[in-house]
Amino acid sequence: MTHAPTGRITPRLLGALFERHAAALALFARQWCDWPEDVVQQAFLSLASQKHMPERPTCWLYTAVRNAAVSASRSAGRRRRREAAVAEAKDPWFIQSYESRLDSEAAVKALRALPAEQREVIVARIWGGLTFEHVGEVTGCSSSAAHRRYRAGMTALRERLGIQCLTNTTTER
Amino acid sequence: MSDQYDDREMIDLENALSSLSPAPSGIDRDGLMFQAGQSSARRRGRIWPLGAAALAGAAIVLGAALVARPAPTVTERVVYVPIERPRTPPYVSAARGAGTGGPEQAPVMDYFALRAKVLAEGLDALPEPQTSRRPREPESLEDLAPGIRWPYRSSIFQRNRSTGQPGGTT
Amino acid sequence: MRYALTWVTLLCMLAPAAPCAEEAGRDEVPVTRLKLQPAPEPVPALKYRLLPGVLEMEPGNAATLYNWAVAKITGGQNGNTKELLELLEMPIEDLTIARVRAARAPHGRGPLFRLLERAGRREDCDWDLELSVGPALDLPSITDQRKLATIAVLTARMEIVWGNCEEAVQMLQTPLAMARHMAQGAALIHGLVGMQVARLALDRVEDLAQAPGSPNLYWALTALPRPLIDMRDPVETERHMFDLWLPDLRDPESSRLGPEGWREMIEQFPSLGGGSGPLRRKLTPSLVALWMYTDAKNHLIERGRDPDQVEAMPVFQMVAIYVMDGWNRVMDDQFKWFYVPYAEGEEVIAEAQASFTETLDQKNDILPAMLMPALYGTYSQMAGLDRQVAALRCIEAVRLYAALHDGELPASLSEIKEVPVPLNPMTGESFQYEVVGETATLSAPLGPHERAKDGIRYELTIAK
Repeated sequence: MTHAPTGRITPRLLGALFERHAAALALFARQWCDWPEDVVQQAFLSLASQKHMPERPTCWLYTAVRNAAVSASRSAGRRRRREAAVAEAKDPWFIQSYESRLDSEAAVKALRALPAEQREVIVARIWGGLTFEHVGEVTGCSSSAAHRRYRAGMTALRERLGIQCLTNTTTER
Repeated sequence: MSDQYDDREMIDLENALSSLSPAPSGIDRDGLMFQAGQSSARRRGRIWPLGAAALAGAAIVLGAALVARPAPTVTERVVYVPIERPRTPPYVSAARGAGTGGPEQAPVMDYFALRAKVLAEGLDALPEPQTSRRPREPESLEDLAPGIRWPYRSSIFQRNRSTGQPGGTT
Repeated sequence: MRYALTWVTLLCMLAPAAPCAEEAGRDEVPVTRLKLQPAPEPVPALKYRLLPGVLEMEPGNAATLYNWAVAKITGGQNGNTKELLELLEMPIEDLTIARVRAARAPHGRGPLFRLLERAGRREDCDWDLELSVGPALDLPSITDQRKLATIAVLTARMEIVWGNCEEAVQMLQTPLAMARHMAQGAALIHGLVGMQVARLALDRVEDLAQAPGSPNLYWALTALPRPLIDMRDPVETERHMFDLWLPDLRDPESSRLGPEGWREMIEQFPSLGGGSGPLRRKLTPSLVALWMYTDAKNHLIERGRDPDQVEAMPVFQMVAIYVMDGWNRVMDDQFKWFYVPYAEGEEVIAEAQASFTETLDQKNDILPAMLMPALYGTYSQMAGLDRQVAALRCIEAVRLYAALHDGELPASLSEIKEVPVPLNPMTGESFQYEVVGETATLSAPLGPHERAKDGIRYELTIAK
């Protein structure tokens, strides 16, 4: 991933980051909280209030969202204990479209069944497009640890979703 | 080899997962940009020198040494402290400011003075909010949508090749 | 320089305000005439609520959503606050959709209202104020928030016009929640706006009491917290505004600023003094310090500081300690009354404020002379809001009585046995109630320093 140019944060840059990352950031936040849009909005506003564009704005955004979402989840956890009920995700994680090769509900169910540390690495990598190094930076582990968690999570997903070697094509990422 | 097999399966799974599009964030992009603009303007306005804001500051002294101390002759000197002045926008009253709306036109007023005015006169002493001001009439197409290249071609008229449906993803 | 002049001009306007009503005339208290629709207690009793219940609350910061809502009303498309307030003040029978449209006021439970509704269900509200900038504190969105809240109240009022009373009751939760949010951890002006919004929302209970088919809100009102708008946070923020702004002055004795640091700090200041404080003329800070230097030194020595230490202290620091001692003494002397329950403290706090300037006899009272906010009005309004809730509970108790007694008014409040009739929280005594013919008058005596326009007086009849 190329680094965005540092310097002032212009509306054009902010808008471009928003268009590129907002949906994936909301997905990332959904792992922890039911109102991911608040957390994501706040992250973008915090970014806008920085004096200079961070060197790795995507990492910065993912880190900000993660911190805020985990914090929101702790508050929600206290409320849910009062209600003695487990809240289900209120909004869909994905939109089902003609291009989807997986059933989105099955995918969500399988993702939610993963341990949190594996799930967040997978979400950040696949939908956020982060490298393992950057995933490690966001989640606070080494890149090799991130890679290990990724493989373990994907193996579990493959079994849950029953993915076989379906195609002969490979796509370079 | 098993690793190769695993890698191929891994890639396949990655492709399958990638084919799922995250649901839209639900965030109003324009609203976000507006708020970002506001907080940026506030940040510039916060860079006040202590002195400009220090109306209430303690009556702290300059030159008191000349009174009680057996001091040498006091030389009054002017010390210029480099202070970054804020780019404070002019205050636009509701009466005069019609058509000059926008976050960068936020009025600047000492908080203590505003508080005293409100306590004395009531909340009607608060200025009319910026959101009540109509934006100025656009003078050109560029003003309508800065950054857009004209003539504009909307994506809703571009048909999705694989589905035949109009428009792309949201 | 332009700013310095502006500040000085504004300073001249600053004075500890005596209660506005003191000599504002003991004019007549405005009379509100209500033709009440009888209505029994709802079943279940707490079917209607005027604030979201605890199980409806969500974690999160409501201010994020309120700010988002402000972005939705840009462009002058949503009326102005003055017109919106006029729509709220006019008799409900005169309120028509045509007038609402003419004022470009939003109406209906659209995306804007739903966003505010969601915000009202947030547990926290952190306005993220930059309190460290002191007088430069910017309140960029408070006027917009006031307008949003007014829109929310108007939206509920329109539902009453259209006969959707149950819907209107539920919608009133939104501005009332917003009013409480406004007072959370905010500056005084936020709290004042919150109190106004609460009053505007509670006035709609008067509309509902007259609307056919409207539910009885006795228990909904009784379930409201007391005080409805707690001004403790805003008042404490004001008390410490100075400390938050200039941390070195919070404890000048321990400050590590050297002589140059103190010099630099005071050289930024514009002129001080003037008005009704101990310094009648405006002077530059250096001359002010000169004026108070001897008193400052004596003050520190009287406090037990070693005279040699005092001599060695940077002059500006010495004066800062002296000034801050005065500031803390006077501020606490005034702010302490805020915590006294109204019925006990009304007389004393009014007197304390009225005689405030007379107590400023020491040189180090110069800052309080300039910056002490007039607290009586806030104190009185907060109690007045709770009185309004109590009076409305009385009115709902009358509606309940009428529903069970063939549409008759109770001859006295003590005749109402079905529910407890509240006392006037501002006096600790019963409201005044008198029936003449088919009209009952419900009123409360004005406090000795209360403005007539803030008083309450209802003339109640029962709709046949």
